[in-house]
Amino acid sequence: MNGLWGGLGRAMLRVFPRDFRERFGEDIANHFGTGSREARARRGPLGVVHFWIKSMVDVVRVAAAERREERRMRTAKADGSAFSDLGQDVRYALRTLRRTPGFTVVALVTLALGIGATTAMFSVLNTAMGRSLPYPDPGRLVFGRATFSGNVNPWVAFPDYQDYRDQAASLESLATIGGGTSLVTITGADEPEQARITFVTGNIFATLGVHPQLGSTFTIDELPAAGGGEVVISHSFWQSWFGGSPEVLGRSLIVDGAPMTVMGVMPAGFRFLYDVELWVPPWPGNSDPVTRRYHNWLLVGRLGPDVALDAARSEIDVISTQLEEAYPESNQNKALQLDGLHAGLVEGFQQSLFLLVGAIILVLLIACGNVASLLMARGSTRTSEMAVRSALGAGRTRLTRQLLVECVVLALMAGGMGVILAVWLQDLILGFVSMDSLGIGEVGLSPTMLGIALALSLGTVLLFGIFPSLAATGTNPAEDLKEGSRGSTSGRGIRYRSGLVVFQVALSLVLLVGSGLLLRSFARLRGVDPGFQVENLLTATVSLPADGYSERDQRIQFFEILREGIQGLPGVESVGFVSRLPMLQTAGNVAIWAIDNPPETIANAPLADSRIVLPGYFETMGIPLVGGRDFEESDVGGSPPVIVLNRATAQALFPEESPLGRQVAVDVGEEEPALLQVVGMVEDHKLSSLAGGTRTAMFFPYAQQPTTTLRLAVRTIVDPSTLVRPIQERIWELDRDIVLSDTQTMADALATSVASTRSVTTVLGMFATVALALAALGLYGVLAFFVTQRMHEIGIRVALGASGGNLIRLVITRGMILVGVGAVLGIIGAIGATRLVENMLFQTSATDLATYVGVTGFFLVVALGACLLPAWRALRVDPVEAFRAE
Amino acid sequence: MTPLTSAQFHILLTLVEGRRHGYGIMQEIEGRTGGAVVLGPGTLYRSIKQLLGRGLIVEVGSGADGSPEDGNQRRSYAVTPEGKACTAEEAQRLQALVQWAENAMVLEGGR
Repeated sequence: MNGLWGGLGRAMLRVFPRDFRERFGEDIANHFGTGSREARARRGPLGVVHFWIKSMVDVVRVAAAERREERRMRTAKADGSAFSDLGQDVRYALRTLRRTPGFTVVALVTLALGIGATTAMFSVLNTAMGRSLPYPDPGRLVFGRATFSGNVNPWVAFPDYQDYRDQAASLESLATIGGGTSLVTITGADEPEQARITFVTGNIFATLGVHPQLGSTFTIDELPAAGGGEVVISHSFWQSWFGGSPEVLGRSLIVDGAPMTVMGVMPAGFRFLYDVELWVPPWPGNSDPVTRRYHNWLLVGRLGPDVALDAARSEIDVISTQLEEAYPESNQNKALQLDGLHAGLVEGFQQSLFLLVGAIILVLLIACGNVASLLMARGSTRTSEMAVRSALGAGRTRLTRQLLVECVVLALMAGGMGVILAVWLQDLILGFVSMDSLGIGEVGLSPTMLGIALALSLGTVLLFGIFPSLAATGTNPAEDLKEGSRGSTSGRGIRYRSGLVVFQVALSLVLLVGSGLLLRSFARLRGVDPGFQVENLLTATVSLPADGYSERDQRIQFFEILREGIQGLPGVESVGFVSRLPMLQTAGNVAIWAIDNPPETIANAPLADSRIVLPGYFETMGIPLVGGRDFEESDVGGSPPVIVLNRATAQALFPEESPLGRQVAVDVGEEEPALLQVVGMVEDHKLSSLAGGTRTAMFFPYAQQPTTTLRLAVRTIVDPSTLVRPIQERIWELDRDIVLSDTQTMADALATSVASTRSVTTVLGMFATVALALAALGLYGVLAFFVTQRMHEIGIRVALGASGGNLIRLVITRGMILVGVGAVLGIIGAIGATRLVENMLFQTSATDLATYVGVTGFFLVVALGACLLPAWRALRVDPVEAFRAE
Repeated sequence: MTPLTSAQFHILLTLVEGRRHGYGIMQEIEGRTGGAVVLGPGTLYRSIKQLLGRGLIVEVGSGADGSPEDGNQRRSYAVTPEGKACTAEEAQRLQALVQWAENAMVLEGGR
């Protein structure tokens, strides 16, 4: 029995840290008890006092030392414990998320979509901007395009190319490739086969740094006097035509009737600019004359080692100036623009990509807004939980951290799903924004992409996680416990969420306006009258082989007979032939002037788009003849040369006068211009693109310029596609080796010509729709929450006799204030942001009032819809129920 | 090795002769030093804790030496082999100090 003294000793123990107390408390208490009794036995009460004083002093001294030590131990251990807390937080977060599956699924899907789409977009952009071209040492490759008075043309004249190549010392090599591709017919096997071909100089492979897998390149002159004779073939063509035979080198290939020797086979996957099977050297007469006035080539060069691009540019500029002085007739104001090859190739779709990336970031922001709003709504139902935890000793930092851990867990899960989505979305984006010219067929999964996804996931946590967490923990435990039963929160949550809605409305309006502008522009573009009738028009290409058609008359006769043959087919209304179809093939611009008004130099002469037609072409196309006559059977080689002008050319050459019967001169690339008489004038029509303005054009009769390739335009009274086979059979009746190629309807061709615009418009429209839906959802959520929160108040109003109209007004006013503020901000934002699309717009201003009004109106209607549902719920509030819930 | 404090050394010396409980240790020290050294309860148990922590003594069941004080369950302590070695080492160190004092004729002067 230690009695009183033991009890007192036990009281003393309080001064020791808990660990020490638990371990030795009993012993120390006994110690005091025993010690006191012995002290009294030996020296009486004074002994006890003495014992106690001495012991107390000792205990206090030791307790202080123990506490100091314990504190030291605790801080040393702190790191370890933080980690175990983190593990606890993660486990807790997973448990919480599992407990609210509805919230978790919605948040996960929203975030995964947002992160996935943004990751895909960034990854594509990153690949396009960052991927090096599939050629060795790509940084040294340059792209050369001609400029006229500073505007990119981009085609270069062949003689100019030769001068640049011979004079530019800063370039290790400079090669050229044709401005396009064409289809040729390969004969010699059982069935003729079509192949795509382009003209290149033999040094192009060495310039790109890719050498043929077999053999070498051309050995003949770079500009042979007559048709090719030598060809380098692609790997796939080698496989399909020659069965991958190793003895392919030196074998002969009949290309459009001309024999060519296979000189080399390129490695699999090699491509430059175009997907072609055959590369042949250029030769005069293949289409356009080789003069400084015909621009039909693109240049690719390789900088010398350690030569800077700027140094090469300076040198090229000097050469351009010299050429300008030496050939003022053709080279005035002409220069060559040198860019890094990658930059030059990316230029075309860079803007679209940046635009889409910007748009998707807005969508992601809006999505984050929704998740934040959800988190807040959920946070408000967890106020009691937070208050309890807080009352049990969890500090504010601890609670915030736990909520943030929940957000991080959510974001990382969403990020993981997003990556899977992104891989799939990348392909989708590449389907819309083709990057074949960069050699990018697919992007795949890359560490960069995973990095982007991780960064986005964590970035979104900051966006959607921080505010709700702070709002949720920044509450007063005592107040919240008291109010907890009602599940409501302070006004802070609803204020944050309202702020989020304003922000979402603003962002989605920016997107909607942007896509609205593009849509309107696109509609205007599609609404452009091309100047000819598009419907029921079948187009195709017919190319004559060289052998058997070397004589002019053979070619003229072939097409005459073919025209009659097709005309006789059932379902055919009329038939036209032209060297290059409007919208489908671009034609060269050639100088033309009235003989009685010659220009000082040819370089100053007006230019006109030049095409060759057979009689009946204008009628077939539906291009009205406004004066004079169409070409006739009598316009032949020996008869006086004649020409038909479009209205723009006629007005340029003969302002205020009739062009009919007047003499004009046309630069045909020779010493002397050709002299022709104007016999007809046709209405202006679109030549190369719907977006382009009115252009000058002129037409020559085929019988006076019989080329080997003509395009067919057939006006039908049945579905145009059903006529492909009958037409091909008519051709085969004339020649088994001629293939009808490039068959498509004009309607399809027009759709293709605006395809890239449509892609961007479609994708942006999709983004805007998603943004609208998300914003409407966010608005609905906040209003629904508002109604729930005000259930009590609404109940009182109903009890006091408030009408349905009053209640609806209450909710809708609330919603519309948010939408109104957001819309004003959004319109201001849109005015700034749509500058970015300004140059993509066709006949549409970036501040087009109708679009702004229309889009805002549309948005308000959707927003009103989002308000009505919660308002309707408010109507159904039963006052008795509302009070019972108290 | 951290040197032993005076209290720890006294406790170890006591336990080398046999296991004892806390109060017993104090009594033994007081007796052996003629009352010159009396360990307060804080110092005593803090030292015991430290010795336990260093593995120089261990806790054993109560009254195993057959000397239960007053029937109360009390924890007793016994020295470990390490504790014994450590005590010997400390004793040697002190002996060396005493030797030094002798050589310095400190003790003669006091006689």
